[in-house]
Amino acid sequence: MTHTAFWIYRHTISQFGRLFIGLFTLALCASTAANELDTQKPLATELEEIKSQVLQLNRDLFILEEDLLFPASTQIAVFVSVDVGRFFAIDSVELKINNSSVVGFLYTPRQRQALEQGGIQRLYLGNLKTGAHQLTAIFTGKDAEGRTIQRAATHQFDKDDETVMIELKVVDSESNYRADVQIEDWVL
Amino acid sequence: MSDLKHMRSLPFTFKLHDMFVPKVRVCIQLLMVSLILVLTLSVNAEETTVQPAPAPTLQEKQYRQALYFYFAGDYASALRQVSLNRKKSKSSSAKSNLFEAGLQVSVGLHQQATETLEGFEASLSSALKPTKSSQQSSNTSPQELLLIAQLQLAEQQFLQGSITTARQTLEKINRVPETYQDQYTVLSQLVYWPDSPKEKALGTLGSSGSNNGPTSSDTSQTQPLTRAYIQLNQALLDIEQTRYEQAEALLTPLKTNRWQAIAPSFWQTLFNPFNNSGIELAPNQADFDQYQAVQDYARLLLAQMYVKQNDYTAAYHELKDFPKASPYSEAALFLFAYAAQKSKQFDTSLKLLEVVKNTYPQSHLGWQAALLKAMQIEDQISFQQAMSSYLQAELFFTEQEQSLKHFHAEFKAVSNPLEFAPQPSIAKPNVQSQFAAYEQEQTTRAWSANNTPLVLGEQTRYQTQSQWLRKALNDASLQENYKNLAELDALAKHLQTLKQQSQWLNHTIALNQQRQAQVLTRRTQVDYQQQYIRLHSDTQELAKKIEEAKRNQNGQAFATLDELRQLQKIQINEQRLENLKKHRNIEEYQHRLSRLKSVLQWKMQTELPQRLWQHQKQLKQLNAVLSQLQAQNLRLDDIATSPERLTQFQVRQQHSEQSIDDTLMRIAKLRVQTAQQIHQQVAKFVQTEQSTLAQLLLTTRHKMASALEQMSLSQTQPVGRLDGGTL
Repeated sequence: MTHTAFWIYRHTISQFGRLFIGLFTLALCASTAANELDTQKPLATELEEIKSQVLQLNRDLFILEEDLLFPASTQIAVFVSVDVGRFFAIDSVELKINNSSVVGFLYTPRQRQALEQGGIQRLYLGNLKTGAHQLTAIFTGKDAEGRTIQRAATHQFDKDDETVMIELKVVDSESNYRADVQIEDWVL
Repeated sequence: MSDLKHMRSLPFTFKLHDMFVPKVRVCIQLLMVSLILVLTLSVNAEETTVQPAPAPTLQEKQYRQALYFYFAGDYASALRQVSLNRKKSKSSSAKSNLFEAGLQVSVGLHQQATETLEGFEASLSSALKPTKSSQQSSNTSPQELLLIAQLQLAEQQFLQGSITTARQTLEKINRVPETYQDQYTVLSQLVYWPDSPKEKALGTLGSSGSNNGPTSSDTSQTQPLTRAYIQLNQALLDIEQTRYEQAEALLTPLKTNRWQAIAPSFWQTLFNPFNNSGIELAPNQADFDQYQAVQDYARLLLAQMYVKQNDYTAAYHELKDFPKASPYSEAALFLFAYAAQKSKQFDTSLKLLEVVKNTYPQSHLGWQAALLKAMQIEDQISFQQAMSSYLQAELFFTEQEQSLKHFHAEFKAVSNPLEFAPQPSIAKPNVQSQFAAYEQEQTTRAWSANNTPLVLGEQTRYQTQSQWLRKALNDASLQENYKNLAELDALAKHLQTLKQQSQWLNHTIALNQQRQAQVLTRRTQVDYQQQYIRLHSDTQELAKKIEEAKRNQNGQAFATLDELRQLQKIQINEQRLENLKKHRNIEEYQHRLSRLKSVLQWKMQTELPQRLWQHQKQLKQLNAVLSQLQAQNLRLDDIATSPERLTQFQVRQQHSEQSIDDTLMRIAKLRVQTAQQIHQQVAKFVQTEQSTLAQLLLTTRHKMASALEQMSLSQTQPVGRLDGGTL
């Protein structure tokens, strides 16, 4: 709708320009704006190119950092998702690997909404040795009545030479009107 | 780096082979304890009950990661995630393509968005031809995605001034479902202006016909506010073509209608960078402002139409209770004063013109008000008062000229236009800003400590304290240049952060190279492979012994240390008894010793199955640990034989750093160009304003001369001045 509003604005200016005495340059302003925009094009294009280049650089450095610090042979990534979120409004999560706390995250309303709208958050990216490990996730949030509650899940997994990706899913259960934490291993 | 860290702690340094003893049990225990200590492995892992997810969902999950960033308001990260997903999975879904185009619009990459949409539209059109009934598993059908893409593509083309191309894109659309009808109509109105928009047949698309995104449920509710825009545009068209009755019929209900709240769909929100997708703490206020603006604009248009028809009384009544805080109040106030003057409400008119002049001293309407007021006084009151009023107007215009000149001199002296009278940022300790700061902090913390989120495509207007610059910024082109300048600064700042990150990575690579060299040196000093072979052969030996004990059902092979000691003691005693046999009767002793030995052997035989099982299990664990050792050794071999891995990282880092430097230079160059352009635009603005003021001054002086002439005439022939006159 913005272009409509812009059009309306411009049109209003030109209407007044015609209405009042005609010696003033309101209409001129509107028409010259279009011409100036035309001469702007190369600068605008160059700005777009720079933006695009910055985004690409951002991505490349991000990949380089990941490849260097978290190679697949030791990488573990933990994700969080929320299915509906009617019985559990997520406030925070604490993640432990082999009984050591590795990350904690406090959610803002907007981040919670992002999860409830279907987003998946990468909560943790780290390194692990090959072998068997234990992951524990403790979620704190509010139930449908606004009471603070906690949900936890434990998961045993083996780390091999491939990246380990684990999703912690907060899922509403219609049968008992409560949310449970389910764990899913992503298959590459 | 982590690989190396792990490899440094490889268990090749222990000396178990020196401690090897012939007793199987002791040997296995020692081996196990050492290996377990070194590798710190937990060998009693429980069986997991978690079922692995099917492979095709991975792409969807990657897409949802980008969605998280988008919904959390971090558009640049969302775009980066889409790009990463494409790079990792080497493919992308139709929805993620469309999503990418939307994100490109959100961060201001309009040209790229157009290209993405064109490619997407072409691929989707060809993909739809052979299987028209094909549908995706999601709730948005391919046909619907195509329609969304075509609408957005047309919008992008329109915004970039390619009207003909936008028309061609719209003409490709055959059917428009009701959900998209309003969006299509608005777009058609704009693209075909001043012709009437082309209507399309209503129809359903694909499976759902919904305009919701992947996570929203289907809705079929109308969008009343969009309808209001359609009607406003239509009314404008009618006024242009002097179809006043139709325009009035459209505008009259718009003044009073109460509009329903709009829930924009996922795709509409995505492609509209002006739409705040974040959490709204006071959504009703924003909605209310929108409705009020529509109503105000409808009233203003109606009044304007009445003025065009010379129905000044109707225009006056229309604007009588126009809200003061409206975005259209300046135009409405002037029009109201003008209508009052024309409908002979002279006192009101004079007061209103004075208000316009005082409230908007830099505005063209304010200047016109000053002149109109003097002209009205001349016509209705007296030449003397008119002269005084003209003098006041002249002084007013001269002051404005001086002020403009002063502004221009000050502006020219500033090389960075963003530093000229900027609006001081007011710290608002409200909940919303606190949330925003916290969210920003959380987003940063969420995925990387070394990364700062890149904020692009923000549509906030540049705010300044200077009245003249504020007026100049009404020019869209200048406003755009200011926005570009601010964006260039943000990009340069972000690039500096990236450069720091790149340098940190370079440092990390160097450290890794050092560590790698140390590990490789140590590797040359110790023959790990030989140690592994020896450990392996020891294990094999143990396995043989266990197998032999099993075959012979020899419980003594698994004797404990106590049992071994007792057996040894029995053997010594047997030897002693053998020596005493010639001198004493030892039959009873021999009998007792034999009984003791039998009891011990019976006990070992009884516990044989249990001990055999334990040893077999320990042997299995030992073999597993040895396999891991071998795997680690092989990885070390890989690193030793291919040391170029870190060099590749270094090449990539150096390439990135070079690109950062090049981009920073480009930004600096573009910044200078943009600043120059801004200065030129401001100079042009000043020139235009000066010219307008000069014209007004000239007109005022002409009027003064005319009034003086009339005054001198009136001294000989006095005439009443209350006939209204003409403007």
